[in-house]
Amino acid sequence: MMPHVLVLDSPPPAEDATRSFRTFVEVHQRFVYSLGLHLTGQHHDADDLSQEVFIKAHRAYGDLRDYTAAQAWLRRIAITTYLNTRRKKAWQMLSFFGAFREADQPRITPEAGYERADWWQSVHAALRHLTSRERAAFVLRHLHDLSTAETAAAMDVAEGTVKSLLYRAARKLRPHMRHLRNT
Amino acid sequence: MHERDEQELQRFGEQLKHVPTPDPGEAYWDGYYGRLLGRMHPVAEPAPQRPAYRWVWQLAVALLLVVGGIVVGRYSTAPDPEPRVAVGAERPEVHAHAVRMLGRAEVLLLGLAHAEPSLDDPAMAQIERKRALANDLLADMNALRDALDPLADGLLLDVLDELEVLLLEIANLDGILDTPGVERVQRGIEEGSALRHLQQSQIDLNQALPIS
Repeated sequence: MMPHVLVLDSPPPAEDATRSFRTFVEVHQRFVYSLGLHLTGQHHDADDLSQEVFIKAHRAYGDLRDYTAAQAWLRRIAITTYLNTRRKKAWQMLSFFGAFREADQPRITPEAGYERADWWQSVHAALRHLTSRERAAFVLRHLHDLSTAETAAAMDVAEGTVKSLLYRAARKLRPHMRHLRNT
Repeated sequence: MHERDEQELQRFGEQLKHVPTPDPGEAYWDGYYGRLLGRMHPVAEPAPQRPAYRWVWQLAVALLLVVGGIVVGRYSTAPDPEPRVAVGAERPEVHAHAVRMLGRAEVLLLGLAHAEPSLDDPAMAQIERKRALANDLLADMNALRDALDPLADGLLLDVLDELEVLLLEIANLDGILDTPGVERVQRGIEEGSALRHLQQSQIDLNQALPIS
């Protein structure tokens, strides 16, 4: 599930720029990490991606005027960074199973984790069939509940392109989805 | 998108959402900002203390390098018992198909790269033809993808992924004066270096193809 994230409706306390940005990071770090994990599937890649996002956000932090739109702004940076870096072959394919194994997971009991491991392994295998853009469209539209228009804005593509990407994703995932529903 | 596909994907998404996102734990979050600062302002690490007899290590490393150089030189000049077969030579028809498709796509992208979204621009006046060509190339690309080997043709498949989204954008252009749409395509061409990747792929494939 999506983590609960507070969104600032006014600029963070501005004692100094560093402290202000620190507050900003602390408010949004779980959101950015979670998105990174959904996109890359690996704890280490999600950590790397989230930090890269905040480094880019820091460079443009002075330009952020509407703090209520901070999540959308960070999401856009995350998607662009993910797609560009994915192109360079730096990220691994989605592997939620790997994320379960690698991350220190205090909230999930070992029993529950092991029970889900097989299922997630199947999910991992299914999502490997998607291209990075199909995956990004699927994650934003169906895991992060963005509308088609919001997904298109986050990916900087037309709405029709998002629909085509989702159609392709559905076609590729269909046999795996049937299998997963029966497990 | 077909309604059934949309519903099916939505159900799948709901199923995934029921499993909580793994949380790396409080220790991870406590150190998060510190690590971020470290990446933003990397501090030069002090040079490690060198041992008193460092010349012994230096000599050992130098000797290793010399021996390594001799071994590498000997084997690299020896004839290769099993010469590598160029990938293109194994499946020339598939790679010739790829070269043709990439060439057509390159022409399409070149035509749009510097087009102005106006009726006066000849490139935009033919937008319906460009949309039809983009759809045709997308269908062609699907057939090509099925014929490619994910392991041997990984780089080419990456180029096709990059090209696919541009073709989808072109196929979805909303008429001649879709300024935001044309700008998105142009941004995609420029930012992704799509043309350079297309050209490089064609060069690589042509080099791998047998001379007829």
